[in-house]
Amino acid sequence: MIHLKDVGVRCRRIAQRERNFNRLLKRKARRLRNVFSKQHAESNRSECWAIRNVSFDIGQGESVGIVGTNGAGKSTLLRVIGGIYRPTAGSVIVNGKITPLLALQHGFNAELTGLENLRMAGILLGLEHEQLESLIPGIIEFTELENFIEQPIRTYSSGMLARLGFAVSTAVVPDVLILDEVMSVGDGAFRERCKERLTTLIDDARILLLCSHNMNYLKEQCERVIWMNRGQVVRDGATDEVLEEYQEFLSQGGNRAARRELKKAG
Amino acid sequence: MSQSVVPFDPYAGTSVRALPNNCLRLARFLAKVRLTLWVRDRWLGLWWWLLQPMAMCATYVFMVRYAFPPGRPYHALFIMCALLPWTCFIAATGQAGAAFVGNKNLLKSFRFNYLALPLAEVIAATVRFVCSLIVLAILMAYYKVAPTAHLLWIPLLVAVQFVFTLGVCYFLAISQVFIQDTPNAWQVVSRIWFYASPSLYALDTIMEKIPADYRFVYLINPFATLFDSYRRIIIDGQRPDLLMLGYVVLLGSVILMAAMFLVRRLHGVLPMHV
Repeated sequence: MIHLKDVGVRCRRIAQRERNFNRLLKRKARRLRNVFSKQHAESNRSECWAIRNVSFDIGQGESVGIVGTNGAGKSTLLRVIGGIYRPTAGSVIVNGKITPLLALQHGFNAELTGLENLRMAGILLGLEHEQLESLIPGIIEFTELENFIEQPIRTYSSGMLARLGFAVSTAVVPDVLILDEVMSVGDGAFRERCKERLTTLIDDARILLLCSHNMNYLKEQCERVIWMNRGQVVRDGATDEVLEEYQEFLSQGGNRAARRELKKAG
Repeated sequence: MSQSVVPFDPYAGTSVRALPNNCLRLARFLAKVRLTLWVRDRWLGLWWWLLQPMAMCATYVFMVRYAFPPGRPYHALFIMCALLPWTCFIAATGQAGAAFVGNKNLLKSFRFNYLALPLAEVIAATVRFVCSLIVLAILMAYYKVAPTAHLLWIPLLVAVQFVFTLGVCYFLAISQVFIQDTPNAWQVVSRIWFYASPSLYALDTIMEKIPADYRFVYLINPFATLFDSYRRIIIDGQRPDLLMLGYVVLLGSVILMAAMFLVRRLHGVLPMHV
């Protein structure tokens, strides 16, 4: 069970990054000049929220897709649910063991061999030593990388990396499986097997959270879709309805078109 | 396949309590990784661990013998007693200071105890330091300094230094996430710190020059005690100053506790900022 109430994540203000010694000097100089002309330097303290006021519930056995344009806050939301980010506001309750699969291959160390990376990911996912050692043959077999497993993964192709990442994070059955754009790589045959594996995972009455730009895949896997835009939930409902609306939004030009219209209206 | 039910909310679930209990295992693994990466694919491999301190020793010996007025006996040994621990400290702070910033992807894709990352780097640096103690043994043989039973104090000194280094490293690592200037500032600070410690000179000589009332100010620096203890044990065959060592232990643990508390508080926040 996942329960989110008024969740917000505030990101570092961009203005803060621009705060440096040179700018401070300039500001002081300007202020000194302005003392005489009695002008006040305008402060642009704007808050930036990656996600804001997000509330929804996901029950047992549901598989939910999350869509949205780039930078809509999908990954941030998944990280909040996965327990990687602590929300600035609101509350999150997640019951069960979570495996965040947030493009796992990025967590790998390029200099290490495939096997060492598998071990590291296993430890990071909280597996016990014996458990991990007994799982490793299965994982290697699933990835079909037997010949390359002793090579450093900087020699791997992106597809091979994705295989490794997928295999290690689905090796343990989590209660909440979070997939962030993991299905976009890999060849056809492997993708089929991934689907098979995911289906068995979902069948175990566990929660699947899927974030993807692949509409067909979402339609196949999810019965419910949450559409996010600019850090807020726009629609939350049955897959077909939400995806239809979302596609219409995209075909009209997305946020840029909306902004243009807003400008036109004044 | 464990099916543990982990309650999760901003104040309980994301806290360190709900984390998988794998901090030490992870740190050990990462330290091993760091050590293997240092020697893997290098033609000289492990020999670098000896070559580097030897080369450094040669440089400083040359400097002290020819650039400065004639010093005390055993000066190579004398200097290396301070330089080796200091190199370990600098290596550890350099590596561990970047532990959060450099492991961005790890922080953003897994849920684990952040304490493990700097810890791994400090362990790796310490292991290297312990290996480089062979250089001291070689120098002892060269100068015909007889080993005494007091050499058994060395593991204690290494442990004390480890605790202190770890605490400093946590602070540096956190600071580097929020303030990008940290490595630059640290470079300056560490350089001053090196010359403010009795590294190229003896503790006794500097103590004579400072008025008695202000000596404690100099002794605040834990490296004053550490370097002096290494020299007492190795060269003079004496017991280290236990009172001062106790102070260093106390200081180190206070810093370490504060740092660990801070890292715990920042759980779930650091990945957003790296």
